[in-house]
This record gives sequence, C-alpha cells and structure tokens, in this order.
Amino acid sequence: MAQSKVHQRGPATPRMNMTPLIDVTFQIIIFFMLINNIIAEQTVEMYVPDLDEPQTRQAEEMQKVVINIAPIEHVLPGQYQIDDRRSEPLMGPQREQAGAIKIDLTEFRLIGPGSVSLDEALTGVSAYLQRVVETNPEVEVELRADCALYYDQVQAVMGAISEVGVQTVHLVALLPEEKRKGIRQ
Amino acid sequence: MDLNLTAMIDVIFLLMIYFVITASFAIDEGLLTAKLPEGTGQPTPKPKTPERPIRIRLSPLALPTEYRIELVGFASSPRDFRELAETLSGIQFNKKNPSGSFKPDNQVIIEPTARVRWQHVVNAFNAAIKARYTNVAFSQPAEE
Repeated sequence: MAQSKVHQRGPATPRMNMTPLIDVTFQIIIFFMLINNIIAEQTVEMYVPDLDEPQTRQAEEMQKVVINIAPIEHVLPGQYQIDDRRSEPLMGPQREQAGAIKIDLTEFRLIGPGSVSLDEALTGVSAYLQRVVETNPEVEVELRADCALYYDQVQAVMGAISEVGVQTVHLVALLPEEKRKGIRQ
Repeated sequence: MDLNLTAMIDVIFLLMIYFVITASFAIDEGLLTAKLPEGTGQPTPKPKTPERPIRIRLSPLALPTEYRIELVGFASSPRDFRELAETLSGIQFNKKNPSGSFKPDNQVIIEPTARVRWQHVVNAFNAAIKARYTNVAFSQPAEE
C-alpha cells in the first residue's frame, strides 16, 4: 500500500467530507418546503381549462394576486370528489356551481357552513384587491377558475376586479402538452 | 468514534425527492392575458377610429361538453375552436392575406351567454389569440 506523504506514520485513508453535501441538501429541502407551502396556500385544487392548441405561456416572476373561483368539491369534499371528474372535468352534478372565491389567503365560501352571499363575496374581493393595488399599483391579477363553471359566475368576479380599476387579468389554463412537466391538478 | 451518516442521508434524499415532485403540481399551468368585460367598473377606452368588431357568440347545448359558436354577421358558423381560429385567421388582413378585411388590432369580442362553461369561453379567447388578434375582450353575459 502507498505511504501517505502527509501522514508519515501510516497509509493514506481517503474519506469523503459529507458536511457540505448535507448542508446543500438541507437548503434544497427547505426551499422546496417553502415553495410548496406558498403554492398550496395561493391555489385551490381544481381543473383549469384544457385548451385546443393552447397559446398559454409560462408564468414569469411577478408580483401577483391570485384569485381562485373554486368548484363545489372545495367546500363540500365529503359529498363531491374532485377525482370523479378526472376523465371528464366538465361532467358531474353541481359542478357548474362555484363553491368559494379565494383571493390570496382570504376565502369567501358561497356554499356550506360559514357561507356568504355572492354579493358579499364580491365586495370582499374588491375591498381586498383595492388595498393591494393601493400598496402596489404594479401588482398583476391571476384568475384561476374551474373549467366547469358557468360564465356568469366568472364574469361577476371579473366585474369585481375591474371595479378596482384593474383592466387586465391573466387567465390560468393548462400549458401546451409538450411544456407540461408535473402531474395534472 | 465516527457517526454513521448513511441512514440520515437516505432519509434526506427521500424527503428531497418528495418535495421536488410535489412542488411541480402547478407547473402545468400557464397564462393568457385578457381584457376585462366592458360595462363594469372603469370604462374601457374606445378605439380611436370606428371599426366593426368581430363578435363571437357562444351558447350552450344539451351536454356540458357541447357548445355552439356563432360569428355574428358571418354566414358560416365554426363547428369547433380549431375551425374558429382558422376562420378568424382567414378574415384577417396581413401580408399573406391582403384580401382580409380585419386588421390584427381589430377588436374581437367574446360574447358568451350566462350558462356557457368557462372551458369554452377560454377556448374561444385562445382561438382569437392563436389567429394573432391583439385586441380581444369579453362582453357581459349575452341574452340566451
């Protein structure tokens, strides 16, 4: 066995220093835990529209407010299962009915316990958005709505957004097939 | 005495793989930028020169997956959104199509009735964007 030039008394025993590897791995875990929480808190599980030859683009980094118009499964998970629609998201009873409107972390339930009227929810959305726009006029609005909802419900929320003076929104739909990476929500 | 790190590294890697996979849930989603409907809140500025908007009327049929597309003022009615994109492209004035009568910045208005599914509304909007129209907006829910 070769004699070590540094340690004259014995053979060289190379060892891998694991400390930086563990440090980096912990940092990556913390990063993904945080990202995961942010995504989970801002978004509600739903089927966003799946388009014919979608022109959707990947979301860039921006200061944004996410408004979710959630399906009934979100508020009555015991009665309605989101997985029931996996093969055909537009089908199923009551799926045209919005269950809740959630703006960032503030949720207004339209059905079930603790529900409010649509008008109260829209007033709440406008008031929240007004505060955000006053603080940051550059903020962008992202609108996530379940594909099975009727247009009049989504349009009512669009009205509440435009009341604040916001002229454009970013509609959320699935990316083109070739750009998808994850598992469909 | 050496600490055996193998078990800890195994667990850490499993945790990391879990979070990497679950964090990719929302990556499938993309954005389409849209103007909000006129007639609510702040008024949308009118075009400087009077022009005839392209009006796409959407109405529901018996099944949620079915819909009817009508191009107001046009004889043909596209059967689906691919055909709608082709029709919109065919009537657009550009270098390749000098006989087209609508400029790319001509206003396109999507006019869904109240009971049309959001899926179809966004699909109509997507077809107009695909046909390279730059001024696409939504209307208030149209009469059934």
